[in-house]
Amino acid sequence: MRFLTRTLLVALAPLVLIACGGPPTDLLKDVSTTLSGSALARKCAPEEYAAADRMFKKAQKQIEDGDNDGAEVSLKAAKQLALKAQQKAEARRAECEAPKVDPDTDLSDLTDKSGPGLDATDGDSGGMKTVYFDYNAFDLTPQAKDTMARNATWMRNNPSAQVVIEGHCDNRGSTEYNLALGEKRGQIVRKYFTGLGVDPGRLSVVSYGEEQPTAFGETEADHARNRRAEFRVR
Amino acid sequence: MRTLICAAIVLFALSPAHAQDEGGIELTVGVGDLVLFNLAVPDAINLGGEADTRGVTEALSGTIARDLKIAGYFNLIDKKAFLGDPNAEGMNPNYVNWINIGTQGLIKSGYKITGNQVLVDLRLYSVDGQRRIDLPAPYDNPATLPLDPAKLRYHAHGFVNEVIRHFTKSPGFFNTRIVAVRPDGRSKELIMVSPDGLDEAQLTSTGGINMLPSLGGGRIYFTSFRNGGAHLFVLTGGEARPFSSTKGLNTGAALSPDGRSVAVTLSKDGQPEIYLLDPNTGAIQKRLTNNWAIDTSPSWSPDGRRLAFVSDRHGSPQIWTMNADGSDQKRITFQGEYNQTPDWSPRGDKIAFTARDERNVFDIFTVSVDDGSIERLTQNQGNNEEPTWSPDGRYLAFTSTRTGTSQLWIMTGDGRVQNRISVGKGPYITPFWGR
Repeated sequence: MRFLTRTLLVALAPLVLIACGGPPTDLLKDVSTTLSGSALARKCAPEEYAAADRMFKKAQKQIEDGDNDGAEVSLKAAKQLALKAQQKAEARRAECEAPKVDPDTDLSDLTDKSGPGLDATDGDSGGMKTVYFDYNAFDLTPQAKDTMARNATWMRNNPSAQVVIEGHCDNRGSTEYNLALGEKRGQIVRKYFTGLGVDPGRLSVVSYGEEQPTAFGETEADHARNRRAEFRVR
Repeated sequence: MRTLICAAIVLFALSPAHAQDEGGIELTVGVGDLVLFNLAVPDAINLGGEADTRGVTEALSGTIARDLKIAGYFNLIDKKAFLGDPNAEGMNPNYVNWINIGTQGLIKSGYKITGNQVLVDLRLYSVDGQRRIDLPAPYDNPATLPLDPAKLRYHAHGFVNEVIRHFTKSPGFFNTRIVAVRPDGRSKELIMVSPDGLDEAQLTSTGGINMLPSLGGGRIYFTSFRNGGAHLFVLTGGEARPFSSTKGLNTGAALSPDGRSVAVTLSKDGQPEIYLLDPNTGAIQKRLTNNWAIDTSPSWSPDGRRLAFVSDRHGSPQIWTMNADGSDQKRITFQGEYNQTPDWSPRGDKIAFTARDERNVFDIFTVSVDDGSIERLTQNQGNNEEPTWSPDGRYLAFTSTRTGTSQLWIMTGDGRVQNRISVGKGPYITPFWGR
């Protein structure tokens, strides 16, 4: 008897859901994905992004309260708002992503005073382009390999140049681990150069860990800009 | 009532401290099953010398009250509840007034200023026993001290250590030191601070990057970029001298319990690996790890036989342990994708570490050395990182962003009592509690 009841319940469940208009899970997932893929919007169109996020949270609350029809309306609105935020952010991208110096920052604070070796702006990068890494990773992405191929060309065209590879990390994780991670990034870049025919004797590695960020915010975009290997021609 | 008292004593015995005074100090059960002694700490009394214009009261009763709050075993009775005038009764309590506010212990402090000296009298009373508790010298008699708040605080910290020893059989940690780093703009300087957050001293002023200090054996090892990359220095006798400057990284530094080796991270052979160095010359004694991955952040077991460290050889940073000769390397954390900064408890049984959880928040956990069981000590209070055990293994200092900027905090080893100690604007990072 119990078995029969259970079977009946299981069989009836989809009918019940359809009859009552179950929660709009596909739409929920869709909007959630759109929102989490809107890092640029969060940074460059924060008000619009917040509006979309609020509408999404409202929908979640409605689902909890059993108001599935209301949730569907809210989710559609949230999607519209998220897309609008993305467009707005795209339009503002150049202005918003430009490096900014906080007006309260004393510029002398950004000038290194610690003596030789620390100063990352000592010398220049020549024609070398910064290589970026994924989170907690020290392997080269396809994009990083493209950049490296161009950098190797520059190294071959400038055979007397001695270059310091500086490994950097974002500020998440421990100070010491990030020094090790920056070192690994620098070493991988050096090894890849060697594979492209550059004499390793011309390349040295210094890890700065999380000590010398170029972006000072806490957004994913800021973190991505800080996970890098920079080049300094000695 | 007796049953309750017995139950309380059993609970307290299970916690790191247990009751000693069978003479009648009762225990009460506080928040959760945490046992707290009720203590009253009235303001220090002027015993007839010159007026206090140098902060003597704050340095004595203020220090004692703050220390007892940080210590976590005590419930300090609000001064507003005191009956009568604690000043008027002098150094000898009118017990009825104290019994009636429900306190079990009473700490009386008195001072008499004469020129640049001050006579200091600190006393612990059992209120229900209606007697003074004998504490060892120099707290058995009034002491004559210089009129210097730092020296008075030192004396008061020592008194609190004896009060804690009386109640828990093991002395308090005040008068130890914590070293840490204070970033300022692009520079990072070493600081040293008392566990009550006061008496902060800046140890370096190069304007560059100084980091990862460790204090032990009367010296401070630290990492600095002053000569280019990350090199190790040792600060002793007011002078920082180079300790290890091999090619690549030279970071961290954990002095072994017997003082014969310093465990560090070097990358001279291409990968960050853990080595043992001679504590005086910095010469390499032994290489302990050898693989393609990151191995870093060594911390000694108290018997000096094993080391905890961080390795990402399985794809994410995890806590590992190994023998002091590098053999028997094994992973001990299996939960989470991002576990770092191990610190092996001086009691030997647990390793505290920082973990990033699924919400990208950092919190402090311990892992049992024996069975790998995990305990969470912080939650929903900002980012909490870099745990470092007190010398007796009963407390942890760590950093927390729960009040905004990263500040220094101390918690009991079970995480139940947590207090901010740093008083500067911060931020403060990478604390190390001197052992």
